[in-house]
Amino acid sequence: MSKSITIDDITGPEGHWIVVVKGKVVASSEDAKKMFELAEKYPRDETIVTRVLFPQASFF
Amino acid sequence: MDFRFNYKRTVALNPGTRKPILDADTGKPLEVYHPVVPITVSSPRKKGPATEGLLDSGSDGIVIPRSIADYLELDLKPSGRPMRIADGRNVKRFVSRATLEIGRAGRYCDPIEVEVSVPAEGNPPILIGRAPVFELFIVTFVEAEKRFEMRPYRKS
Repeated sequence: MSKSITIDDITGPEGHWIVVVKGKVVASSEDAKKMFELAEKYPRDETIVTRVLFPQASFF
Repeated sequence: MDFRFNYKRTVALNPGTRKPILDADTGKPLEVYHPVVPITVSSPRKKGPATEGLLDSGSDGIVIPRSIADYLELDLKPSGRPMRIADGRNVKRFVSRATLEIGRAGRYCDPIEVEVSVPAEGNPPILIGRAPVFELFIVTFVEAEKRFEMRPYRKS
């Protein structure tokens, strides 16, 4: 069984893409491509790249 | 395969100060919840890392930002139909094909071949719109409990 790599809680700079490894944020950037490339350096089953959505904006 | 996920809780930081963005009314850190689904997006050339998409029943299809399309080395074709975004503007878009897997922790659906729209401007989150995910799954939002469920659709 793979380890759970998705987090239900997230804290990070608004709008940034963040790389999370073993539940810890290791990098953040507005550039998703950079973060996807960085994620390649970490074990796939322990790494997730996610987006800090905008708390002050609503999606309609 | 059925899925059940909690909404993701976000406490965003001001990118400049790295301090929590505060709720203007309460003075406490602003927290919001979104229905995000764990996914992997890949192309014939590259498989992306585990990531997440915002479930968006108001979107016609799947939207990914240009930077991720570039990472995946997708072949982008200009679309004759622009994308109408939430503020009412029409934005030029590209279309391409990609493979989507939904799931996490060793539980994944079969790969789904999808059309993706890539707006020519802006930096949206990955949006998981209706086609084809809402055609393949019955998606139930339990807003009061901040969770959602996805069950494969089977014609009765």
